[in-house]
Amino acid sequence: MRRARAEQTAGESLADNLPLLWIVPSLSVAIGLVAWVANHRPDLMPPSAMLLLMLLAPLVKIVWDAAWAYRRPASKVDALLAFDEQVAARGSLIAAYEFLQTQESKDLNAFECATVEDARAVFQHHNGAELSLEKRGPLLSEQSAPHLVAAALLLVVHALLYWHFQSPEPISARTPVAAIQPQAQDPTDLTRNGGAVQADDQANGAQTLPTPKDTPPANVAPKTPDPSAKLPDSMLPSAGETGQGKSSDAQTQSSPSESRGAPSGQSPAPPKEKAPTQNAQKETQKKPSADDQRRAPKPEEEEGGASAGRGSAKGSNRNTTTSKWTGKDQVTTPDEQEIEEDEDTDDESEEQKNRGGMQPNLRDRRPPVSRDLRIGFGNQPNPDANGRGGPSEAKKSRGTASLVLGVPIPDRIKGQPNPGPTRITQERIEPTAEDGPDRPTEARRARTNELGPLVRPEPSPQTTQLVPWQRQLIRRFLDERRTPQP
Amino acid sequence: MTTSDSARDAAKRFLDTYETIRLEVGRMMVGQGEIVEGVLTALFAGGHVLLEGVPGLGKTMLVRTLAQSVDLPFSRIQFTPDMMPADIQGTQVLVETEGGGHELEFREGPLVSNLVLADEINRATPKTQSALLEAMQERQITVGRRTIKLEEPYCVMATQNPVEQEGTYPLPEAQLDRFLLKLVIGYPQESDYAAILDRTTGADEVAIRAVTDGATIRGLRDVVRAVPVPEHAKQHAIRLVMATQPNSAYAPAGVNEFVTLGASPRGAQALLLVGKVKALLDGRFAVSVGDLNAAAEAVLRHRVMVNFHALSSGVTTDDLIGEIVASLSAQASASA
Repeated sequence: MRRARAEQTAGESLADNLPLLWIVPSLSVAIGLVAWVANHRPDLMPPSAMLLLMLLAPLVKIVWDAAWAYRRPASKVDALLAFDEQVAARGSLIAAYEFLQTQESKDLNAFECATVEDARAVFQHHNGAELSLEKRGPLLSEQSAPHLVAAALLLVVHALLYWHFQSPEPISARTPVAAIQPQAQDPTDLTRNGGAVQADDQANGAQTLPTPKDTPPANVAPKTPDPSAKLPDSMLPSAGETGQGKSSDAQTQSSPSESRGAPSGQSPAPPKEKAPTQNAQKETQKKPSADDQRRAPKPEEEEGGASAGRGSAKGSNRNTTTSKWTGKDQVTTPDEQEIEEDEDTDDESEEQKNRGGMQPNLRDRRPPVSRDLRIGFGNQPNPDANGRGGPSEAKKSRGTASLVLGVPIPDRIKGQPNPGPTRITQERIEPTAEDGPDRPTEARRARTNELGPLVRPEPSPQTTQLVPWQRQLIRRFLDERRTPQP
Repeated sequence: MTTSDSARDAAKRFLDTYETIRLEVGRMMVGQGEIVEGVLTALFAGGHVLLEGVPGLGKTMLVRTLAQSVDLPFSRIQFTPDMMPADIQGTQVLVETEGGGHELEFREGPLVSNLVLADEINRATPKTQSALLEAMQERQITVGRRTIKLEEPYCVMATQNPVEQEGTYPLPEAQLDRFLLKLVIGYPQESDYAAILDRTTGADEVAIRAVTDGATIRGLRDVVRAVPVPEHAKQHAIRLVMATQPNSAYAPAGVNEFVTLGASPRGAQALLLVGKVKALLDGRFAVSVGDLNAAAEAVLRHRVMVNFHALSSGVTTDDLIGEIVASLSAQASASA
């Protein structure tokens, strides 16, 4: 039974400790990748040794668990539980055993006797049966598969890194070119195969580093007349001034200046004369040409035109300090008036709040109510009458003024309450400290810390300004909101 | 007759009565065998049942049929939001005497009965729901200075609808804990539909007859209580309940993550009582671990309160109870 328990424990431990397979290959792969990035050659162990080491970690844990389970002795209760499960006695065996254990302290009642009798019948029926302890389920479940696959992948990566570092080529390929450049230059290759570009590189202080495989090692210099014929396009050495041998990226980067300075159709010059010519060309490239000078203002014009076309200056050029109170005599075009009405309609309530409360809306302003003492409005109809029983010509009896005959007071004044000029005064008052009552601080039981102004952090651009992506997000959100729905 | 023979006789009487009631209820109730078994288990274990299911599954009909078959006084309370505790407990009303005078007389409410169907219990306000607490636990009702002892067997069978939650008041934990079982009624099987339609839309009316009485049920309740519980099964019930409590010694990871409130010792009592009934139904005379595992879901599902994380993740209490049972079984097999 102890052996079966140890085997069972080992099986469960195997499923639980499968992640340990990752540890060693993960470390090895990590070391290998770091070394590859840092241009070092680590001493990786062979894949076969790695496989053994990888299996060792979970194996040690499984053996430890199994040994721990084997050490614990098997009790009679454990054996009864196992046998109960084996013969499908539904717990009657262990129940009868427990009842019999307590027989000395009390007599068995009817149900306990019946349980013991049932257990005895089960034992008699299975007399001579051996306790078979089988494993209770597969050792590896479906959840184990990802661990195994990951461990196998890590092992493969380790093997690839191992073989990568075993070959001498990668380390030499990543050696800086400037360090081996004098050895790599063969005079014959220089004249025969792209010598102009190498001279150009020398003139530039070897600023342009070729790709690792462009520059072969000194002891394995290519002897073939055209070694670039088999190389991919991105690795072709430069074939001259036209940049045919350059990679597409290099051509893209250098094409604007070179095309102006030296047209591609120009015949190549001898190599020795080419270097000063190119230096002169670079000097001319640094100075703006006549075409460039003519083109220089153009972006600004385009930029101005673009901004005018976007229409962003129209609203922003308006004087923000212009008040409605002083601007009533301003002559506005219908276009501006429409815009102003739209904005006023949207922000009417908000503006009133900003002005400090309910204010008259001057767009609905009308002449004040006639206060003349004539009956009615003379021969003119009451402008406030709406013909539907609204404000009528005669004041309905309401208030003291209606008692005075001949003083018509309309019921309602259209517009906002209290029309008329309003003066808004804003005062900026710095808070000043006041002397408090002469009380001991200890008397303030609700507050024990020091009194004083609150410390607020100084606003900084980092806290007050939006980062570009936030600005774009808000812009897109507002644009979507203002886009009319179809 | 030996000592064990009396136990076997009592167990046989229990099985016969149980089977008779089940068959009689089955004449009206088609399918839903587990629900019928659960309701009868609660009746014999002396507990109350909370039936949860969508409308039209026969919850009310099941309880009414059971009441008719056991020949017990039955009352139905349709809970509404404006119902007051006096409406179900009873109150004093002003009645006219023969001499022309008036006097206050106490009128018992529908809670004073043997089988009480609390239909859509979650539609009543917590105030009215609380009026059930004393009746369900202490089997008595206190109105003013008057205390009414409720007659045994007393069983409250409440129903609630899990989908129409608007305008309802979820049952408080104190009330949920007083239900022995929470049974979730699902849709019937395809094979049951034809029989349901025949019995409910035909001209013949199924008449339920009384096959037992309250005294028999009271006697069988004593039989249930006499079933012994071995020590290992008792330990298992305790561990089942403790495993529902977060950060306890037996709580699996899911409980620690998703459970806010675990089951109380009342849950362990309910586990043992239901386990005893299941042992008798299985022809045994002692509770086994398997009986407790089989009862765990219905006994514990309404005693475990999950947190918002569980709700958002779609983790139900049934999932957690299944995880608890599996965890404890694994621990037992590892220790064996």
